[in-house]
Amino acid sequence: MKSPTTLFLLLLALGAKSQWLNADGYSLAYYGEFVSHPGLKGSLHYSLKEWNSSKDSQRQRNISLSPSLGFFYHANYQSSFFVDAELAYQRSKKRHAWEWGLIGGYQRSFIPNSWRILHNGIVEQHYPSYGALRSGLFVKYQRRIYQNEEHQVNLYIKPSTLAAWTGYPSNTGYFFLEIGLNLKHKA
Amino acid sequence: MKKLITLILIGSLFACQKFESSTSAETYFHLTVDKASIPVLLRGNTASNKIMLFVNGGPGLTSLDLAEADLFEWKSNLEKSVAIAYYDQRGCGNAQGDFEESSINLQQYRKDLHNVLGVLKAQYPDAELSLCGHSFGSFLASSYLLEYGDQALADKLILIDAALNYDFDLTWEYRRIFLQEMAEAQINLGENTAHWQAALDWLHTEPNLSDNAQKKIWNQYVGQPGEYLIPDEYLALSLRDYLKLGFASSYNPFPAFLSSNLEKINDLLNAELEGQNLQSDLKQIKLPALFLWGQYDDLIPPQEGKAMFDSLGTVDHQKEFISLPDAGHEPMFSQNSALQALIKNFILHS
Repeated sequence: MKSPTTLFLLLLALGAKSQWLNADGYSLAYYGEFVSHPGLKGSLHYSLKEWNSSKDSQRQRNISLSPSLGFFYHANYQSSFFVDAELAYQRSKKRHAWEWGLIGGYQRSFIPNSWRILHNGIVEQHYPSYGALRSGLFVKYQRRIYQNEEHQVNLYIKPSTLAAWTGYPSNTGYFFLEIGLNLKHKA
Repeated sequence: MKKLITLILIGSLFACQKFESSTSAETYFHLTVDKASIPVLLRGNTASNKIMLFVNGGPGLTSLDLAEADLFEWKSNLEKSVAIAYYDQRGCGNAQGDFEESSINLQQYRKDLHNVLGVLKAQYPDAELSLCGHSFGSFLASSYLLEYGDQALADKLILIDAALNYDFDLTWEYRRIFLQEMAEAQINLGENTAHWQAALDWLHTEPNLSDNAQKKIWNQYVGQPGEYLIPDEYLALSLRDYLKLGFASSYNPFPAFLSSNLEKINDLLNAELEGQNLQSDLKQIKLPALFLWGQYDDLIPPQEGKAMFDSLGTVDHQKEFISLPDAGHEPMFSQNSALQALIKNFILHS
């Protein structure tokens, strides 16, 4: 119980900070590469356009842009830091929302437990890394779990697939599952 | 204090695995060679001081997949007696890095192989290293021994249905002999004699098999025994295998299954391989050697394998050619127990 409470307080604190950055909201999430290889991801959300459905005033539509920062750790394969920008289209009604979007960004991957043989035959450990552009698609479901006069907090789940364009070989595929909390400032 | 704990935690994420001698060791590391990060899994009984480096075929296939899924069931058998090193070749599977396409060539692959052996030798200086190649992997292993000569780091050679010749005209000569000998054997057994007699009659009218129409007829007579002898269940992965590969394995299954690398690597290396034949150079290889061949390997017939074996420079009492009954090009599936027993005996006792 302690960890979710800490996460919740951290979310509120960072939410206040994001106001300073003029963001409309922010999120903090577990970011699992192929679900089980853990990572963390933080995002700011900027609403580009909001409107209500012409058929149902309770149905809201939103287009947003979200810069993100995070990392994931995959023992023995690679650990990566990344910076992404996500463009999303959201449909919401009451407490529920669905979102679809595109991801574009950059990741730097560090290869663990690496060795090389020097010209004199000595084997030494070293720490290679390489950078790659990445792009992908996601779908997201979120549900409001708390609100007051200033904020609302949503719990969300967001699977995504990405390809990192590593040069040669041309690309490497990834699947991520993001589960986190989203804090939105009320207008 | 908090900063120190944070630094220790971050450091532990990147901490290297130790190369320890154990009866059930499992070490996963990367080797950097000319901008490529080549993943190597060393697993099994390193305390035996016997390490077999498996060189997969293709070109373009992967080794880590089959090791993680234990497709050959070596983990619970052969690896109890010896250690086996698996690696993904440059551009394949879980190999990483940002290197040029021009480095996908045989010379570079041999250099990569030399480096993998070099690290194993450095970490286990007392270990005996056996090179085990399957199909194209046999070409890579053998041509490595030829190119590096006295500098080569292998102590023994195991070749399974080896592709040592990419002169396809010559291969079709052996395939013609393969059909003839199989037909004669089946007639002697009284099996489907009309079919096999028709095959013999056809062969009498076709001294050379060179055009596609002839090759198609050859295929019809042979019936692709290498395919029908491998039961589907050997190739099927269970749901548990898939879950283990995806969620609990130490590598990313996506590159191997979803990328187009297999086709690219296959095209690039096959273009370079075409026309090459190691047979006349094999006399320079004098390592103790074990040739294992599927009796019904219609891709590289055992007759071709025997000719290659006879050309090897190893003294007679240190080399052996064994034909595996009821096996095709991949006896790791159809004659797995026998294959493991033969490899184990060769590594431990020859």
